[in-house]
Amino acid sequence: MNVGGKRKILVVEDEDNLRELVQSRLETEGFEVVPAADGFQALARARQSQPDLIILDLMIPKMDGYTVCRLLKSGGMAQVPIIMFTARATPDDIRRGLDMGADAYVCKPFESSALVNKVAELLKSGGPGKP
Amino acid sequence: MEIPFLSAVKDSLELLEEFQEGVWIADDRGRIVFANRALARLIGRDGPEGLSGRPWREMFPADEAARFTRLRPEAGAGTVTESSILASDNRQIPVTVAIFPRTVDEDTWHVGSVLPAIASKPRAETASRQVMDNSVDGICVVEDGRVVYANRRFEEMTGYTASQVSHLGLDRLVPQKDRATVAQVFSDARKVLAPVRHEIRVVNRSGHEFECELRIVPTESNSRTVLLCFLRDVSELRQAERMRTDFIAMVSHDLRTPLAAIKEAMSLLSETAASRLEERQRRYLSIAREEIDRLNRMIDNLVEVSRMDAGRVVLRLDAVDLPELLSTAIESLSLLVSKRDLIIERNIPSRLPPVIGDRDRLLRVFNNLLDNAIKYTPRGGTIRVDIGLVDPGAKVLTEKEILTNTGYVKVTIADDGPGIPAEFLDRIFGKFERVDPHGPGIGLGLAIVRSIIDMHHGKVWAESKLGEGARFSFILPIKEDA
Repeated sequence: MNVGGKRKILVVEDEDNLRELVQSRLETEGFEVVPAADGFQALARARQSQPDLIILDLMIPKMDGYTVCRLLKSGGMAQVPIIMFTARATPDDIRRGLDMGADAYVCKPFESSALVNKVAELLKSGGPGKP
Repeated sequence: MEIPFLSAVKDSLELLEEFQEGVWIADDRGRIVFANRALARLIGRDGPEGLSGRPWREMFPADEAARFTRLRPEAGAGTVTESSILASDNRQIPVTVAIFPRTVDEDTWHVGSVLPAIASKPRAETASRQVMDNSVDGICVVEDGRVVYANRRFEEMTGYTASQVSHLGLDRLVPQKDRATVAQVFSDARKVLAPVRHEIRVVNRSGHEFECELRIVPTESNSRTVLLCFLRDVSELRQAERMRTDFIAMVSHDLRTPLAAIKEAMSLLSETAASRLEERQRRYLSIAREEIDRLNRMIDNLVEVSRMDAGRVVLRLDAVDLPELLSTAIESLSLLVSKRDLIIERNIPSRLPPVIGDRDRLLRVFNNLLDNAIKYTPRGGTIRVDIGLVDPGAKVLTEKEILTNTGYVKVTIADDGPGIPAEFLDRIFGKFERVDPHGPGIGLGLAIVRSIIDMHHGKVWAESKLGEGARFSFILPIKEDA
């Protein structure tokens, strides 16, 4: 956690346009954003940049979001909250995501205010708390 | 050897030789005095000669022979039962056996006949018979063009009893206009001796027509061809498919209307407000327009697929200038191309004959193939498009869909992407097939490309090595008189 500085958010999303828009929105809200476009990049940038929170698309190339989530949660980043960001929103998908250690989910299409609220909520609670 | 009974029926014996059933006659000691050629054939002997003098019960497995003795009928009544007969190699052949005792001069003679079970109409309830009778598919057995068996479902579906079908013939179950086609299907099955499948319309006794899948499985039985026919009512399935197709068409249409409005609003906004917007805001507008175009392409593909599924696509053929079409396609994708800093190289000869095709559909082919190449080429990469005449000796021209009396033009679109694993090279042209299920798109683009190219008597294929990009090529016939 960067005390006094901007809170850092890793945004993992393979659709360039959507990632750019989410990034803009979060930057407008005063966050610093680290973008990643696939599962490998997500893991690498999470380690490099030590984000305060991760927004993770489930359907991403190279390694799916579930696996990325599991690896992060079991690999020394258990304290970093993860928001599953997905167009797949059946109860099974959500349960699976939460089983893998995700802290919250936001379904696409999303209201950006809902995403920002969720981010603020998780950062305020200071760590992972299951919804 | 002169046997009084036999000499009395000598003329009948000659007649028995013509029978398809195996027939024997045994004297009062149970020894065979006559066997016809059909019997010898059935049990795999060259001729009936060696059978004379043998006890007839020895033709059957021991327990079956004992059973016949127990079943011993009242003289004159006879018995018919399911059994097996021993072939000369000791194989057991399932048969229906009929045994009739005949009393001549106070001696009891036996006349027996056997029919292979498949071609018979057994009365006993065997397991296989029960399976057939309770099948959800209509089943009938055709031998020498005649229906010799039909199960209960077949009777329900057609409204005729098995014996009525047998007398009327299968023709009666098919609408007049389809009869020649169906006859051809049967004759093909008989010729190739391999299962064939065909979709037909069946008309039942009350005149109602419905769609069926007909599967014919030819089997050899005693060197004769027996056709097992399975009839499945698929009318509900087809109805559901038509509903799905109509649904997609309707939804797609309804989606397009609001999309058109959004697109127009975005255009107006960027034209009228561009000067007052910050760079960043202009960027948001351009993202919106890009995504609207993408959504439109997806809807176009959905509509196209639903039309193709419904068989509603009719080509409007004309002379089409492929290089010009390529330019149009590149133009419509220019936003994407410039955004990803891609380079599209064109290698086109200065003089190229037009092809014969449907301009709008071929534009979709270019759009889908280029869209694909753009998706998979990394930022700053190159897409190469080659257009040229196909060498008349090229192997691809020997494919069976290809027209032989005309030349072809070939288009190849090569990208710098990750390539396609070998096992996917064919599959990617299937509907909803994608190499990476998490990758972009819904997996319809290439299915549409293949459908369109097939309709043009062309051919499309993919070549790739992992890590070395992918090359999609298609060929189309030249418009000769242009």
